[in-house]
Amino acid sequence: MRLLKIIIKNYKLLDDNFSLEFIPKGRKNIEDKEFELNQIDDNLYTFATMAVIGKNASGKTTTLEALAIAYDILSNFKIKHSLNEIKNNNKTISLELYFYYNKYLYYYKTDLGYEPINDFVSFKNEELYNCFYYKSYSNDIFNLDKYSKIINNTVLPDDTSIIYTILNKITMRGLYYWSDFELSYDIDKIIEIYKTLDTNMLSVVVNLLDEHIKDIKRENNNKFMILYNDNTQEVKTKKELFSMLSSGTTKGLFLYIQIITAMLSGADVLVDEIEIHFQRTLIDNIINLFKDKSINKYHSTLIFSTHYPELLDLTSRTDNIIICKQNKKRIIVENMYDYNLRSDSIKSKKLYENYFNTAINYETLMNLKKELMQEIK
Amino acid sequence: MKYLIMCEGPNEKAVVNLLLDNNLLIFNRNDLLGLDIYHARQLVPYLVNLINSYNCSNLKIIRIGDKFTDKLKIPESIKHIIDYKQILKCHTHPELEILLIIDKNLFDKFNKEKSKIKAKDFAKKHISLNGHLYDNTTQFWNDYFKNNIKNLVNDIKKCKKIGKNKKEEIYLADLLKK
Repeated sequence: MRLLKIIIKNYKLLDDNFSLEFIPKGRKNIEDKEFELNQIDDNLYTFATMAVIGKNASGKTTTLEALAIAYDILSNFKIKHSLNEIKNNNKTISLELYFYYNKYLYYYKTDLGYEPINDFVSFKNEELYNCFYYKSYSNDIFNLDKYSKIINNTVLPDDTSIIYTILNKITMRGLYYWSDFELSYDIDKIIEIYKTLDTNMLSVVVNLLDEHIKDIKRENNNKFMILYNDNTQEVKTKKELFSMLSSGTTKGLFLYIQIITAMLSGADVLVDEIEIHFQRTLIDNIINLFKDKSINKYHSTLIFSTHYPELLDLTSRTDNIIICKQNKKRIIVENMYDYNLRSDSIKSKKLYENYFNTAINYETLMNLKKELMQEIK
Repeated sequence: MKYLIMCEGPNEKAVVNLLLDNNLLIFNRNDLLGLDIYHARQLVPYLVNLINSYNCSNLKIIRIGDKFTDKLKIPESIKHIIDYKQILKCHTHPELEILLIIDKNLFDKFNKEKSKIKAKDFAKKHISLNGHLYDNTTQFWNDYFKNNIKNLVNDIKKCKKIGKNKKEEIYLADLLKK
């Protein structure tokens, strides 16, 4: 399954015209096909990586949250992880998704409303359409004239989406890494996934994140053996282990475990503020893993938000860069492709030059300095 | 020392991969930057990123192809790492398909017609495997040589003997283990 487009209305401050596409708009050259794009069918491509940029409070996290709702439905056929976001949203959300699965294109629409008595999100007014994918459709895949409505007689509980009838198997099709990572909660999650993965791979990841540690071996549910590079070893409880590891190592461990899971399953990965807690080389490496055809065989996409302009130069395309802005208290998204940059433009330079109107206003910065100067006097 | 191998097309990549997997080259996978061979004509961001992570000037770049129409552009951010003398062109003159033509003992025939027909088109007309004519796919190259590696090596060596590469260009044969 590959998500191709999302349209969402009435979600937080997102503008009612909010939509995001995961397929390239621009020309696809040989090198792009080799590194920047994933071929999912004949002449049908998705991005290997997508970046979401914008000022603080421009709506980057809200944009990723909207995507997380879509992935929640596509993974669990229910609202499971995004329950709080929808619970705190005052209006009924209207969601439309286009996705590709097993040679077919699908269009799905639903309304999502929180039911306080039952504490779940119900799916209302659901509709599902599909059409067989032909190469000749590749430039017009969102044209609903080609789709036919799927009549479904399966009766499902109110909290279950009819997408279940297509995808059937509950599996994580999107993995999320939020910048407000709650350590106490997520340790158990890390341990759970840790159990399922190959131990050799994990020792390599641990060593990558903390060069003093050779390996961490799980003894039982609560005990871990830490092997150090000087060949000493220690047994630690789960709590002791995570208080000993640096915050960056724990978070890195969690992110790499998600990435490994994605590479093995084809899930997409959403990372909010990728630069937090990680040194640049690790971020570069993570981005390259998604572009590496020998690793990313199941066409996962890394979707990350960032404040680091230089990360944008790691992609040769512009149509995989989403610019978030607030306009009259509404979040709008723009595609960098629509700015018609020259192919040899250095995107980070353009960002520093405030070409996309994403820089913090100089006057605002100086107001802070003035206030501080006054206060200190 | 690491090698960055940049192939102009997917077929060059397939041929080099076959040689690499059979341990016939002067380098092995561990000697390759990124542990892989790349289909890239220019130093795209992925490769720049890789070179930056290696962050060492001990890098040999080998471009393999038959055209080299574009000069290799070195991005500003890695200019300090790249030693221009370590950028080599491995020319598969006139086209990679010459290997298939040599393999089928059709070189003399091709030589007589080469003013009228390109090696690729000649191969499409005369080279077949299990009844299927050459179709310029990596699948064909893999199927043709995967059980026939010795022939591939011999063809590459013959290709050097009859080759007309420029002085500064190397041959695929120069990448073979002695």
